[in-house]
Amino acid sequence: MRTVDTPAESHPGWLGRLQRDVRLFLRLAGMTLGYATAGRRIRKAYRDAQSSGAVYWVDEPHPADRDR
Amino acid sequence: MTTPRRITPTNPPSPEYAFGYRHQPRSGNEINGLGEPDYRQPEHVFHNAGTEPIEWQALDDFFGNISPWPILRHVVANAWQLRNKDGRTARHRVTFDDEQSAAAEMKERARTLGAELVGITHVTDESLFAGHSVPYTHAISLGLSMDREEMAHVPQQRAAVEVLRVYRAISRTAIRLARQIRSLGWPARAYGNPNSTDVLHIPLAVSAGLGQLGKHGSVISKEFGSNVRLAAVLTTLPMATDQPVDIGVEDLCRKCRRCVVDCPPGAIFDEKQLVRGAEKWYVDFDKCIPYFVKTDGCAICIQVCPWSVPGRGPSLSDQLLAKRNS
Repeated sequence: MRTVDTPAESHPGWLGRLQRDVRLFLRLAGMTLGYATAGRRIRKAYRDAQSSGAVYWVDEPHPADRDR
Repeated sequence: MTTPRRITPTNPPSPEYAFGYRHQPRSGNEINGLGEPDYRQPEHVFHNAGTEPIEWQALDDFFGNISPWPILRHVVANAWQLRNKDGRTARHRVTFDDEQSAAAEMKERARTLGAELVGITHVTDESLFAGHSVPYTHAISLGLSMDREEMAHVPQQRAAVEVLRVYRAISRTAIRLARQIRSLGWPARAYGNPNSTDVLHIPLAVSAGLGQLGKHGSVISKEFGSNVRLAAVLTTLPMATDQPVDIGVEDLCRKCRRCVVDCPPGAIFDEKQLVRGAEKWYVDFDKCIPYFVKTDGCAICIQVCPWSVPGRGPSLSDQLLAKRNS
């Protein structure tokens, strides 16, 4: 799964670190929110596919997300 | 409760999938360089940090979305603690009498901070992904064992949660060790898992003498077999380096077929493969990863490995080396 490591870079000062931490927090919050919303639809669609014998295509967006 | 001595997964899920690619990506084996006679650095295929596009990103995202919350909780918490992976280096630089004493002190500190396996090696191209460079010369490779009783539940959520718990714990050790090194005036950065952008932890661990590469593509350590998870600290602090070890893994893996037989999708090659210019043990990515996704991280191969039986590794190593030398 996607995580949020970053390549090695010059060591930032306190302001740079604060900005980086805020970016990280927003990214993690977005990841968690995505897990709760879009992820919920994906989990349901996957469960439906499992029970019906169909295939969930991982490289096609969920219909609910398609028009966004 | 007793610790299971030998793990045999009962009724693992079949390697049939209710998910797939409409448009199949480039083979992971091709990206990994299976069959390539010339050396090159490896490329990310799966599990990267989201900072660059990867071929199998759609399956990786799907994996994240179908993973149970107890797993994701550890991933998020680990990512958050790794915000402290680097930082400002103290202006006053502490020097050591020699590289040996620096290495000894760092190993002692790593063990005090919770690492069970520690080794030191140089950072080389072999331990970096293609296109990545780091401003560090030395790596301290760290290992921590997983709870065997929890891992007896492979390939189920309970074992996966234990994997992520240990990743989080060993990442914490790396973060604290890197901070201590920086406080001594030497740049240092912690590299946690399961994803890290720049470094490959297995080549680092093998080079640092934590263990040898096993047939199942994971490190086998003398003490814990494959029942370990890795992290690392990269630094410019000059330290004496360790040498790769020979604990008899080659002797065992050449004859043992346990992981090959027990791998539900049949992803483990029984013979070494030519990968990016070197003969090495290799796992078929295209067969392994879908099953890994279906089962929250699988890990059957590293748990059925005879070397992972608690307490067995040291005597097994002695037996194998004695037999070879007799």
